[in-house]
Amino acid sequence: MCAIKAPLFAATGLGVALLGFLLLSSSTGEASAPLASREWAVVVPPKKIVSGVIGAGCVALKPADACATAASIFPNAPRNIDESKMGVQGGTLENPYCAGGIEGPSPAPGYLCIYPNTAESVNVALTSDGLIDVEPHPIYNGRRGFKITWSAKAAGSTQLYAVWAYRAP
Amino acid sequence: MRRNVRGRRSTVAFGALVALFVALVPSAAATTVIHTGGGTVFQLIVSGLKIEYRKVQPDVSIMVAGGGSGAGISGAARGTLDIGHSSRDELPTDPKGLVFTAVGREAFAIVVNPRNPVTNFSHAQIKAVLTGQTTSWAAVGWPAGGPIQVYSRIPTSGSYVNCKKFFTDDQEFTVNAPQTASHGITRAKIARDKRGIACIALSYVTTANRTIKSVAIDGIAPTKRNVGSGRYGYTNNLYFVTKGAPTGAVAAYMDWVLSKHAQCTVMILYALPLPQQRC
Repeated sequence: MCAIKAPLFAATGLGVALLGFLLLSSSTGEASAPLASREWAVVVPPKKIVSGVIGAGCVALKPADACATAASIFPNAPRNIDESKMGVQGGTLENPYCAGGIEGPSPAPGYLCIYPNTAESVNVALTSDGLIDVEPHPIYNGRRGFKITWSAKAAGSTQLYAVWAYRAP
Repeated sequence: MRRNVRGRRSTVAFGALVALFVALVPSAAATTVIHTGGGTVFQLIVSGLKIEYRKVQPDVSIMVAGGGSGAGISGAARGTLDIGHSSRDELPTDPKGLVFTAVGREAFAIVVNPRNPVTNFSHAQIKAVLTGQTTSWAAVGWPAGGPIQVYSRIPTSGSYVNCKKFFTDDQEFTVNAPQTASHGITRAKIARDKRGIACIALSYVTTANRTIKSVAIDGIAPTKRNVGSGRYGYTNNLYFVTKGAPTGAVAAYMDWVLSKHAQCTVMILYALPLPQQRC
């Protein structure tokens, strides 16, 4: 019995250690040093803004069907970006820290701001307050990119295009 | 041979233990979900609250949806929401048995372009400007200002209702006012229009990087200090609405939202904390 118990105990310990390592490594917030050393680009410098566009079109089968798309932040953000650090101007998750507009984005440090171009919006649902029914979400920890989801007003093609800007803390 | 049997036994036991451990992980991470929704002003606030609350209660997940204050109140009444969000006070027409708990405040301010020299309005002046009775900046202290351009929110928005209540005694804004969908869009328009004027939430003034400026009303500037002291009275409460007194995980979450930590680290970022917390 003891002969069986010893390897069993060892195997159990090994298994738990292996699982613990896997769980810990998957919950770690940022890439490990070896990966960082292989990257050629640096993160966005302090107080500097990086910007780009995001947008897509899809076909809604019925009203309120969701459409989604994603954008990369490059160079990457130096810190995590969660929903409370994001905002869509004129959207249901508007953020007062997203100053400026599509012609001159001016996010506060640490904030990712999305400025929809309403002239290019097609069949996008609005709330009773007139806000665009759109939500931004980080992909993983938000440092490398994000996604937006919006609802179609009616069945058919729906399109949404926007300028985004991120200012490093 | 005997060694191989032992090896197989230990391999099987190891596999079984790993499977048991993996099977137990999801149950250990099981969460209590609190469904919330309603006033759109809350979506950002609750996004911040739930991230912070996850640090103290990782097993509780807060879901947040929009829909407006009416949807939040009716959702709480029907039981589809554990907590409804309302940026307006309780009305006699609201369903009975609801409990409105103030969790923060929102203040409203009159804003103009930074190139506008006007720094103060009387209540009568701002009412006349917003309703269209006064149409020239010259009539309110800026002789070279030209015509006034009022910007309004969409009439169905809660912010428009509050701006009317505070600044025009519930009279409608001038029909010449372009309607904007949000405080952020209004702020951007005022930043570009030196003749513009609008009513927006104070949180959009303090974060504007001086692209707009606020105007005092009857000599009282819309500052956080004046709001906190009660001198500037154009404020309304933000409410969590529950069907009866909250219990269990909902009560624990609401207690935390009312705590000094939540009020002074999260609420203060997007709205105004409750005055008793003295952040």
